[in-house]
Amino acid sequence: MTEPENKYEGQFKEIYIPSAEEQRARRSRNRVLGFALAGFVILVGVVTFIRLSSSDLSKSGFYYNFKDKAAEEEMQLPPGMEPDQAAPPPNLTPVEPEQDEPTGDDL
Amino acid sequence: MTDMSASQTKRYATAGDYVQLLKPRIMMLVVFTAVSGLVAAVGVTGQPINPIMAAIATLSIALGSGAAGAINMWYDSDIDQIMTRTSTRPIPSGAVPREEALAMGLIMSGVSVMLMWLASNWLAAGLLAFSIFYYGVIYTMWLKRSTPQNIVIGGGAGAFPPVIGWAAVTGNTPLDAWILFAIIFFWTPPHFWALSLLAHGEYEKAGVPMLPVTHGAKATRNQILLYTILLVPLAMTPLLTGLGGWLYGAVAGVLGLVFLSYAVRVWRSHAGDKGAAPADMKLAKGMFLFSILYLFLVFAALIVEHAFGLYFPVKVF
Repeated sequence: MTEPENKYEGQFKEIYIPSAEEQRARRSRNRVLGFALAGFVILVGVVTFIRLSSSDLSKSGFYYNFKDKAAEEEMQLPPGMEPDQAAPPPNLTPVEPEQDEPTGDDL
Repeated sequence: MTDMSASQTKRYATAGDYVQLLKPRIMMLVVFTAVSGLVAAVGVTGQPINPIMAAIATLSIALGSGAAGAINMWYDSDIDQIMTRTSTRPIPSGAVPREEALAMGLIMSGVSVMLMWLASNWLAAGLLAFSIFYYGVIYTMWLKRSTPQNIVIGGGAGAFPPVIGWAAVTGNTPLDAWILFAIIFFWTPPHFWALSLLAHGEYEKAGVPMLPVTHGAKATRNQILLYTILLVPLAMTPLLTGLGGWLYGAVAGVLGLVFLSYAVRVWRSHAGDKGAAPADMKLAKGMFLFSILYLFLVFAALIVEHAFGLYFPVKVF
């Protein structure tokens, strides 16, 4: 067996090994940075949640109210008609019975 | 041998060093005045704000203040190492590389403005961005080293927080918000110049054209008196607009008279002159410390009035 050729041999004369003090300082910095990043993510999440839950979009009911409105607008079936029967055409609107114009005799 | 001593004295930055970059003492005052603007806006307009959003808006202002502080320390690291008072800051002491301070300042600027926008509105975010620019660029990079009026004009940067706090609640900046701005704006010169009377030798050594360095201590004492005379009645204007009530009026009135008496005594003293008596220098230091207490208590009175239902308006007309 021959040893693999070290193509970097002789190029790196010094290897930097941080002292215990420096490692401690690095760890402390990294920990704070980690907490800061996590805090930022949480903050953005909280802000987004609050904004969405109190926004006009939510109040006016982009999704839920849309569904409610659709339910409200569901056409009333004519008497005797079952839901499984064919629905009336969407442009069918109930016709108000015509009222006679008041005449002088009514007064 | 030299290498050995260098490695022995080398400092490694800890989290505390990065906190120092944010100028925490200035940050506290900034946050306090911002909260007072926020609370006063709710009290005066009756417009509610979600408490969590209010807390995040306040945090954004704190971050913005810290960002401006880091940019200031990055740019001023050359003069900081000359002055004894600032030579132990993280950059001149070798704990934090300059580039890291700049990167931190820029990143925090972006984060703070973005958070403010998310938590409140574009006006508050825009004002926050402008105040960071004002302190980091207009004051630090331009005014500080070019004119003895540096802290007068630069004082605008420190005066923005209550306006930002107000804008975060209402989405606009009415006269009341600008009155709070003006109070801090006119408070800054006597506050800073009282300090510069004590440390003008340091500023001279670093080549910073503070008023005592360029125009002498007597001119500085005159200016301190002039700005205090303007500040004291200005601090009473919230009574006219209905921003402040009886409590605020009493606090601002009494403290204003004490502030004025300090200014008159400093004006009559030789504080800042060569060979000034220790008592005179002590007086200037006393004025500097009292000015911090003055601003704190005046804004605290506003908070107490509007947050704890102690607002009783003064019928002026």
